[in-house]
Amino acid sequence: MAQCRIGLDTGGTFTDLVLWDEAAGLRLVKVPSTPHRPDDAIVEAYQRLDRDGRDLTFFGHGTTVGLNALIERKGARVGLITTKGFRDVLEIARFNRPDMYNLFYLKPRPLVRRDMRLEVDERVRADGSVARALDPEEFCSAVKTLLDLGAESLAVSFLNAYANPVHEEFAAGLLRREFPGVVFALSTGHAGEWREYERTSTAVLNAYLAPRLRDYVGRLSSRLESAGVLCDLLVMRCDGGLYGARAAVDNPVSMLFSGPAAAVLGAARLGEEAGRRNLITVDIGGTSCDVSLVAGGDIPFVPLKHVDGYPVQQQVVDVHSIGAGGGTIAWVDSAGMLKVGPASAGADPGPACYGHGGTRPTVTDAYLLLGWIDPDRFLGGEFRLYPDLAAQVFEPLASGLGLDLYQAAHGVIRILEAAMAAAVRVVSVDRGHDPRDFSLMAFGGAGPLHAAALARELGAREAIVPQHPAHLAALGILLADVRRTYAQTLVRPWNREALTEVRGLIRRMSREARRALRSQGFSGPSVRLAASIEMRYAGQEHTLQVGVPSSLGEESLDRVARRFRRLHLRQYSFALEDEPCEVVAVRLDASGLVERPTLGRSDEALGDDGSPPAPRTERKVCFVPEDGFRTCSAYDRASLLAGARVQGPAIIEEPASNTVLPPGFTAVVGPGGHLFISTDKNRR
Amino acid sequence: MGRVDPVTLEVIRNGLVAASDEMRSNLMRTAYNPIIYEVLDFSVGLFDRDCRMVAQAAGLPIFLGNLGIAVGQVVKDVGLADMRPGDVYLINDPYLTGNHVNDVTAISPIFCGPEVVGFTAARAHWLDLGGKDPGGSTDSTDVFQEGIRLRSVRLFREDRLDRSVYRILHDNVRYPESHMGDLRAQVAACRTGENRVVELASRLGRDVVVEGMAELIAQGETLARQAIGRIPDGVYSADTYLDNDGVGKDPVRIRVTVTVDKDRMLFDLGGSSPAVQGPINCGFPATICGCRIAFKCLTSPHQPANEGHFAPLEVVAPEGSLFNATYPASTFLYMMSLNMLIEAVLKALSPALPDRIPAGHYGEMGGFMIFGVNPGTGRPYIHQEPEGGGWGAGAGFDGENVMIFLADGDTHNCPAEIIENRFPLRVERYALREGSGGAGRYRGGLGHYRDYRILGHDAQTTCIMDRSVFRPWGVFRGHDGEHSVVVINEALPGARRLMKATGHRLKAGDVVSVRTGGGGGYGDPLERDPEAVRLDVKRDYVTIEEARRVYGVVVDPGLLTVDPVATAELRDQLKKG
Repeated sequence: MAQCRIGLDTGGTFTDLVLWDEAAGLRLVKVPSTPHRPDDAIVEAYQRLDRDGRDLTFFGHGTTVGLNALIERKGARVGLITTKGFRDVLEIARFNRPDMYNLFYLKPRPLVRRDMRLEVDERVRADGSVARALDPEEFCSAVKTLLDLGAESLAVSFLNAYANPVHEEFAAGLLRREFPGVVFALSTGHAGEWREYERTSTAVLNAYLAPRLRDYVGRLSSRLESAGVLCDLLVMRCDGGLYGARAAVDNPVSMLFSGPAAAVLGAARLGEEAGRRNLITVDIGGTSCDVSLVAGGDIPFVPLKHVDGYPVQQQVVDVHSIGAGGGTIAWVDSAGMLKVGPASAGADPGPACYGHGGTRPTVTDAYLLLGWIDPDRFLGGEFRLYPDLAAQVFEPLASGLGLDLYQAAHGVIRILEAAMAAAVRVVSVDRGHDPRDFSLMAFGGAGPLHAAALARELGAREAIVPQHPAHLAALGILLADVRRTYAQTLVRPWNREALTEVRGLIRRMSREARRALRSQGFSGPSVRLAASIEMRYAGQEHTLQVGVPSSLGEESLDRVARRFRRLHLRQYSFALEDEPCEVVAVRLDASGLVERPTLGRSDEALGDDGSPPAPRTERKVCFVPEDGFRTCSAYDRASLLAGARVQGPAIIEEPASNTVLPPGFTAVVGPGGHLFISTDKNRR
Repeated sequence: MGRVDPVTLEVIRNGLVAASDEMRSNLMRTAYNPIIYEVLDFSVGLFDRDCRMVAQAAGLPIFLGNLGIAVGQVVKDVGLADMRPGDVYLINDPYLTGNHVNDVTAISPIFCGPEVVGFTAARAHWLDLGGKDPGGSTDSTDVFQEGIRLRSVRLFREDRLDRSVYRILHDNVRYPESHMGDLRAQVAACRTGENRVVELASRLGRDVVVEGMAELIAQGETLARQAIGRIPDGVYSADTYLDNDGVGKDPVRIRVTVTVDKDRMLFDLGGSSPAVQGPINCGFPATICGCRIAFKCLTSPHQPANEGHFAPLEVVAPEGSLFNATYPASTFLYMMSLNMLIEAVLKALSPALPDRIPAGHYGEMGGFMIFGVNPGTGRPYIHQEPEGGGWGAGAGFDGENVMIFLADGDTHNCPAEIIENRFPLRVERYALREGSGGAGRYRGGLGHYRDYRILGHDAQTTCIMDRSVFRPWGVFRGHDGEHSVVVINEALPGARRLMKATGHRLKAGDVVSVRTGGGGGYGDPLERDPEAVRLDVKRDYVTIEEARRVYGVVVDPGLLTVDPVATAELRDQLKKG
């Protein structure tokens, strides 16, 4: 049977759908998101395809439902049960004041107020032994009290449960038996790492979001079903894997960052197809710029992330975000400094040039003033832009700075690019990578506008603008594998005994992973397991993740320690030969490999007739203020055949995005139909 | 307009801030002691060639305000001519650079070619520098009891470690393995900052970066002067007291007179106590730092600071006084006086800026520690962390519960799970301390209970509490907050309440309860919204009895509803009485 799949990403502004049909190729749909009922936009996007859904084999979906419910504080009424003496951990948090000179700083409000937090007298020690057993009657009476107080869901978080979850598991058994149907989350259910505040916060967020996610997934499934979609609904998670929708709702926090994760994944896969395994990914949309770094084809993960002030213990694709995008506002502070962001004009009113009442200069207004975008062809011409409005809001900014309009517009972009470059440095040099070893892949609606300049600023090898840059998250979902991740804290000196223990843990996790994946139809060669351990020098706190073979024979003892030292040297600029190291946690990433569609255009289909590509038109564009406006060619990207070479200055247009090619840059349509941009000096 | 265009200037500012952030994450991730990696008791910054701070990463305000003085001292002691690329200097002198000997600063020059373009500095709290007691004392009377002094000591020469210096440090601190690890982390952070500034200069040009730094500082000054213009001109003053200096029994006076004169401010500490015998003295650089924190909170709290932000502030303290203590005065607990100094500045200006200054917070906190020999490993250990407490209420909002004091910023508590994994201690309670917030129309925030049980060994505790007499103040008829105290074996025979103690002995099985103060209230409690009082009762922030007695709100104990009629009557009666 021909493969026919859909990847769909709900973003803040747009809902993007990509249909891949083995027989008919790729189709893209973009519709405005409907934040209050995200399923409306999804069904709308699907119906735009106007086709029978019976042959669909895959429907993967990235969602912001959880994130929105959190930001709007529309989650469930949660009851929390903790170890005696610790119900206030959630409210005390880490007691820090990041805004340190602010006399009015307040911590994020706890999602469970004090009267909904109860304690039970149980205790597990730090070594995992039980100091005081959990009394089932006491626990059940706490549950009953919370349900009587109106709890819609429950979170259970016991101290030291990371070392031994026996009491949380016992509590889960009681809940299932005595209170069937009650939605609950354990602190060790999906995390299992130490730090009681962070783990409790994760459990509470899960309980807070689960009922909402459940409703949403149920409603979406049935609406899609009635629209003719018969295959299972899969959900993208922040670890870059796909999960059956009904299973994923048990761990809603894992869906909080699914969009950015899908985009990085998509970039990594496209890069791999094009023979580029070292990528800096830059995703620039309307309000934010998300950067990540893929080294050797590996997606980067972090074990903890904050969302709206609350920590989430979860393997998350490591994406660094700053408030810099097309809607970002430029302003002058009272000392006369030009500032860009982080505030954004958002979708409403949007940039001044939209003509919807925006009164402050934005980055998009700057693009328009410089000629980087064509007012008549924005979003494929569906949306008219007004350059005179852009000029009107830029005038006061420029005169205040003693600059002309175009210097000011260009200045805004330079500052924006400096901030983006700084963000890239956070994920590269800050983590021990040299940008010169990487290709910079830029996407999102505004990414291609900055691809060349950012690559130059960072000294990256080249810039790549992938096919369909404004649909990359949806594409990433099409390319994702089904995943399971496991983690367990285990603090031991790195020696023979630890090796044996770690080996045992990895075996156990592997068995569990194979079982879980088998239930989703993966076995044999379609299952891939990758084990790693977190290590540090004895006495240090922060750890580095070291990949280990799952067999973990005796020879691994020295080999793993050596690998750790090398990593430490690269990341932190020193390594200590004689210092003992220790293991802190064991991780296993399990993937069920999905058969991937090839998305790029094939070279054969297009060929290169040898003649230079023909521009669609010519127009005046300002690349650097010193040169003023110069006439340059504007190309329609769809008309550029494989092998085509475009010399800057030029603009390459497509419906949802423009690639800016300043003088001195050349773009080549390379493998997969992607644009490979390099400076004329270092063309490879 | 300066010589560097505004766009390039913003690019430079971005680059410097990113570099200091990177230094911060590097230090944090490679450190050995929880006080650095969990608690984040450290600071990093970048300085121009005139030793003026140009960028800092979020961290401890108390370290940031005078790092530049430390850099300046090193330059003065060593001489620019004798510095080489790859040098690292250490300094911790409390009289010349501020704070106490435990705050060890590593400083490196940044060279672009043959020229120094600036400096990078990383300061971290070392738990021990070999004083009379592990971790420090509440009763030291001179600096020799507090640890060794380092003054512009060269640890690295052109990237080569001076092993003699290293051995002196190693052999004179109590926990050498972890401290030497932290020292390496400090050096690595300095190297990172250095590399980033050099890269920036190679991209934009050395002279552009040097000039850019100067212009950023000038702009900081402009902003600060504008902000002072929004404070009414006048002379404001406030007094407050610490219970004692840790050695004597007498209260210690802190007086500040603030003069606001158009675009400049003067903090005069004349009238404060002379230097005292106990360790609460401040070297003048520490005093400057405390004043700068208060000043920054009042002028430009939301902008990243550079030296320019502090240019319009002048600080005066008579030599030999509490705030300008000289060799060999003890300074281990300088933080207590500084916290009170900051509070006094706010208190002085509170009547002039009623909407911009909250009531007093718990913040005298010098700290708390437990130390001993771990029976599991046979090695000495020390657990120390700052404690959070209640914050003052302000116009329109209740004070925050359990948050770190003003002089500390992005400082974190240590998770109980990490404490129990590392030390032979069990944390038995970490909870809000009910009733500790000062009553008011807006209620002061609550302090905490943090209870430790000592497991399988005898240990010692050093605790540093104060303000039992002069409590966190309420304003505009708001009540004072509760003060901090340490309670040992509550409700058992021989129970003890400690305010200040050094090396107090503890037995296996003892329970030590650290209880921190609450914030002051704002406005008359009889004007508090009865619904807010009801919620406070429901959440056990205040008792039903307190609701009635202090707030005049009658809450039904069963239904937890307010009786409006009885409440109105009671409030009338209380207002008259």
